[in-house]
Amino acid sequence: MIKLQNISRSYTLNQQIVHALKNVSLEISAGDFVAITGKSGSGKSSLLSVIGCMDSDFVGDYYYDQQRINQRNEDELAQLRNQHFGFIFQHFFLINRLTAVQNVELPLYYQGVEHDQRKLRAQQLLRVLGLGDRLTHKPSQLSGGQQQRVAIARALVTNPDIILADEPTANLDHHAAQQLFGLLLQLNQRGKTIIFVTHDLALTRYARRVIQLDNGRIEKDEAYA
Amino acid sequence: MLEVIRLAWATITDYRLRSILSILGISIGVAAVITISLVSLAGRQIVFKEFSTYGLNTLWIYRTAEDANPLKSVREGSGITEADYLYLKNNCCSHVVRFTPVVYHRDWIMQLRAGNYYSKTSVEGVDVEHAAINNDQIIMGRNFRVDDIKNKRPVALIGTATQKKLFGHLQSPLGQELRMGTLKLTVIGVYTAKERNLLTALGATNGYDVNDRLTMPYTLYQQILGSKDIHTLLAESTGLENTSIALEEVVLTLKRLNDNRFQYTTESMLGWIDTANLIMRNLTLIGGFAAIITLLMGSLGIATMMSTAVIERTQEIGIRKAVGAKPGDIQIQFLAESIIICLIGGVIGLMFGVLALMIIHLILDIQVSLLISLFIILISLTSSTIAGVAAGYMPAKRAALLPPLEALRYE
Repeated sequence: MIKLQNISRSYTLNQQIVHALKNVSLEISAGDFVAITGKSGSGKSSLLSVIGCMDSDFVGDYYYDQQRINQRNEDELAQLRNQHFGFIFQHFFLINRLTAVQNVELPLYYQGVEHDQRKLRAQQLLRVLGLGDRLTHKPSQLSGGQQQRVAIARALVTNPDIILADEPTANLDHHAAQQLFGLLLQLNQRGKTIIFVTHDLALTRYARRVIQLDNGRIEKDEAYA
Repeated sequence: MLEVIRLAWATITDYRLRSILSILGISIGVAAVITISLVSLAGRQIVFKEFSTYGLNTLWIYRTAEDANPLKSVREGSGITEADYLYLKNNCCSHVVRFTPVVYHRDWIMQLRAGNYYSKTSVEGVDVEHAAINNDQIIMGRNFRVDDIKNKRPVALIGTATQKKLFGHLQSPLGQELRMGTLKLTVIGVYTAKERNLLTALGATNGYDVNDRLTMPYTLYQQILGSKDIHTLLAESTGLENTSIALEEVVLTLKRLNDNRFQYTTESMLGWIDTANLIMRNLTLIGGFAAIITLLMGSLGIATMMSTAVIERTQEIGIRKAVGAKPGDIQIQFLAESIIICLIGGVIGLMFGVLALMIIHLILDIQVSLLISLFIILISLTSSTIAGVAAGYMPAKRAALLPPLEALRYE
């Protein structure tokens, strides 16, 4: 499904070149549940950004469903993100002036789905995630756990193939974190590919494959039954 | 499209105060553009309205004054005789519709009396066609007839101001008698009042009140003055565009008839209209420049607002891009916000414009045509849309080009 070959990514920070990824090669199959772990600055988030087509400024080859996507333009990458990836971020990244429903609707808006249908699907998903009484609430009126569930609903609303989560529990309490991983497990059982980044080794127990990065290189790539 | 408008409108209402201030900036700019256009159009209309009181196709021909030897004209006459006039009337010219002689006393203003009422009024001797050439309407009574002229009948038409001065106490002046020296004249008609407020204000009428006048058959006035001279010849050309050729025809014929003894001065409305147009155009240019600067300031305000919005909403742009917004989607969103703000500003500016239109209508009594109203709508909407696109384009483009990851991480 995803194949990275010799991916390198560097950027300039305070006039110094930082090599975030160095010749990273890996393959991820459909239905995998992958944890990317490593110390701070090891390149975890950079790798996730490349996988999620959020960052196309890398060297190397990236194949998605056997299609090379390196040279795709911004419009094509946006379409890929919209149709195939669902993102869950550490800081939720909800738009504060929009309601929970409106936030969840966003990916559908860019798919050209009609307003009423959009709203209906967003409401249904939020109800499934236990936020039926928070539909018109704005992010500032929701708890961290609730905000993360809105973000999950937004990631799922287009029924993507892959869910990408960047430190998804970093701002959640233990209970909310457990709930989140319970949900990710359920999604994986339904065939979704889950790739999450964490620095918390305890969370890797949920994954069937753990990729450990160190200094921009894959140090360990282990699969569990 | 509807979705884009809905999204843009939601954003505009979310940032209400900023949007209102931007709208205000644009509406002032648009109102300025409309008002200037309106003043220019109304000004032209006023000028044309007042010019038309002379008859737009009117030509004046008179002997060139010889200031160095003023007595010469007294000795040699006015350079246009009744015979010249009759010849021109019957044989000349292809670009002239009609002629009338104008005969007047050197002083022009004469004292009139009706009973115990007196008036200092301008007096002219004219022919039947004078009213048509001079664009005169007769509100009461009748115009001169050919036999009035032929028989030198002591009849007169008067202006409304003269009527008020001499016969204000009567219901109708028709059939009433008035005196000019020893001459008794019977009033047969009253001219409809004319307005030359602007020209009077500009000093172009030499203090002469267009409604304080009396006309009588030129044949009668010539008899009183003891001369067959015609002081000015009035003609009506076949059209404004034929003015020059008509004047040339008349002058050449007059010179031929008088063996080239005299030089003639000519005047036409064309020259006046050109001058008025030049003045109005310059005024419009100056005003238009000021209005465009105002509109530009409003646009700059919007551009600043949109630039700030792009910075403030960088993370939002990142989120939208992460979930699938294409650069074009982001650009259209910001551009739509800018255009909607400007269009609302344009509509409010339009309201100001309509208000100005109503005021002009009330104060100056100018009939503002539907065409002008459409023109204003067109101006306001076009200028505000252009302002919107111009103001929003660069910030929108900047937003569209932001890399999604960089935008997301923006603090």
